[in-house]
Amino acid sequence: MQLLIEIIQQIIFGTVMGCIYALVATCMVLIYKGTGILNFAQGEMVVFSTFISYTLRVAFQLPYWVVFPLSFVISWFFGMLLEVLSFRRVIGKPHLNSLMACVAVGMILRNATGQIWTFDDLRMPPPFSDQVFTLPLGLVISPLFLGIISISFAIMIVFYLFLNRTRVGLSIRATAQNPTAAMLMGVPVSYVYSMCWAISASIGSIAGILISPLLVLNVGMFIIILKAIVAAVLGGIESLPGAVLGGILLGILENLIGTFLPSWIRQIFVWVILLGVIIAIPQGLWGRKKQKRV
Amino acid sequence: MLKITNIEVYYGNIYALKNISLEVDQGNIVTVLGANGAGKSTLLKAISGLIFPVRGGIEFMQERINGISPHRIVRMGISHVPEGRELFPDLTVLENLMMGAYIKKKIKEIADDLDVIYGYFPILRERKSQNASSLSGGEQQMLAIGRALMSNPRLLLLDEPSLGLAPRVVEGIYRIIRGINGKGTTILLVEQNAKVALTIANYGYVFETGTVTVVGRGADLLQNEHVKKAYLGR
Repeated sequence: MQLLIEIIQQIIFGTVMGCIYALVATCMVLIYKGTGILNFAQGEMVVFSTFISYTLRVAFQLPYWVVFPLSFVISWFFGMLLEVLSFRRVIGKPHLNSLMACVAVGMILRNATGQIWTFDDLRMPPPFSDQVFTLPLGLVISPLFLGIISISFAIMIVFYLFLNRTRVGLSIRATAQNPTAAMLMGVPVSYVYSMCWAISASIGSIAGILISPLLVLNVGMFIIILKAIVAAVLGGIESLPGAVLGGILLGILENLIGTFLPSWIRQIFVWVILLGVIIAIPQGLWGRKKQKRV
Repeated sequence: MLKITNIEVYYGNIYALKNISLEVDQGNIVTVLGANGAGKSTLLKAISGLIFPVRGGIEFMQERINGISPHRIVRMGISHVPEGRELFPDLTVLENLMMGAYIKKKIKEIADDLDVIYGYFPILRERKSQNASSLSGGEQQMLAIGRALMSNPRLLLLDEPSLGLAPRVVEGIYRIIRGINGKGTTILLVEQNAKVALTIANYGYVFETGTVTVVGRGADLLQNEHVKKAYLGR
C-alpha cells in the first residue's frame, strides 16, 4: 500500500515536469514541422526568456499576471529576431547546416545570458505558493504544481484550437506540408516561418517561468529544458499530440526511476531513451512511418 | 490579358526557356504543347512567380509582373494548378479548398464559391472530410483545380491536368475546364496530350527545347503536318 501511494506521488511529481517537457516538445515539433529544423537551441531560448521574466518580476517588481503576458510578447519578438537573423538562412539547406546553426545560436545565447545577467544561480520566485498541503492517503501537492499543470494544459489546448480552427493555423499546417503550394495560395511563407519561431519562443517563455521556481535559475538550466527533445522524438517528431504524451510519459518515467533506482541511473536514463528510440523506433510511439507524398 | 515578351529562364547554366514570346487574350483557352522537357512547366512557373526569368517581360492586365513573388501574384488574379497537383496531403478536401480561398476574407463569398466548386465536382462534396492523400488521381486533379478556382482567378494556369488519368476521367475534367472558361475565366493550358488540348483550345503554341516552333488556331494545329507527326502520332 505504502508503495502504491509512493508511486502515485511520483506520478504527480512526474506529471508536473512532464507538462514542461510537453510544452517545450510542442515548440520543437512546431518548428520541425513548419521549417524542417530540429531546434537544438530551444533550451537556451527558454533560459534567455526566463531571465527576462526574472528581471520583470524581481527587478521591476511586476506582478505575475503582468509578467506572463509581457514575457510572452517579448519572447515573440525575440523568436522572430532569431529567425530573421539566422534560421531563415538555413531553411531548405542540409540538416547539417541547420544543426550547426542551432548549436552556434545556442552557444551565443548561453554566453550572452551569462554576460547580460549572471553565470551564478538565481532563485526565481514562484508564481503560485509552493507550500505543500496534504491530500487523503498522505499524498502531497502544492498550488504551484496545480498551477503548472493547469496553465500548461490551457496553453496546449489554446494552441491546438489555434492550429486547427483558425485561418492562420490552417496556413501554418499547409505551409508545413507543402510550402510551394502554400505560396501559390497567397501565403507569405517566410512570415509563417518567422511565426513558428515566435510562437515557440513565447510558449517556451511560459514553460520557463513555470519550471524555474522548482529548479535553480542559471544558464545551465538549458540542459534540463533540452530533455524535451527526447519527448519530441519519443512522441514521433512530427506529431503534436505525440509530443504532449511523450513529454508527460517522460516526466513520469524519469521520476519513478529516480525514486526506485540509484540517482546516477536517473541522470542518464533520459538520454538512453533517446538513443533507444532513434535506433529501434525512429518514427516514435505516435508518429507514423514516412510515406510517399501526394 | 497576358503578354510575354522574349523571356529567358535558366537553371544554372542551362536555359529552360529561350526568347519566348506569347500572348493570351481575355476569355480564351490557350494551350502550350510540347514534349517532356520542352519548358512548358517552366513557363507557368515564371508567370506565377515561382521562378524569375533573367530577361524579358511578363505583363498581366498591362502591368509588369515578373519579379513579383507568388503570394502577391495570386492576389492579382492569376491562379496556378501546378504540375503534379501539389495538394496538401494531410489536410482534408475542405481544408485544401479553404486554403485556395486564403486571399479572401468574406465568409459569405467563400461559401458561395465553395458551392460553385462542389457544383463542378460533386465528388469533392462527398469527400470533403477525407484527407487529400486518400483521393484517387482523378479526384486529386479535381481538387487541385477546385482549390485554384477558390481564389476567383481571372487567369487560370493548368499544368498537365490529364497526366496519369484514364481517358474517361480526362474527358470529364476537360468538360469542366470548358465550363469554367464559359463563365469568363481565361485559361492557359499546358499539355503533352495534344489531341485533347487542341479540341478545346482557341489557339496554341508548340514548344520545342525552350523555344516556340509553331503558333496557330486550335483547329489549324490539329491539321498541321508537323504537329500531327510529332504530337498526335499520325
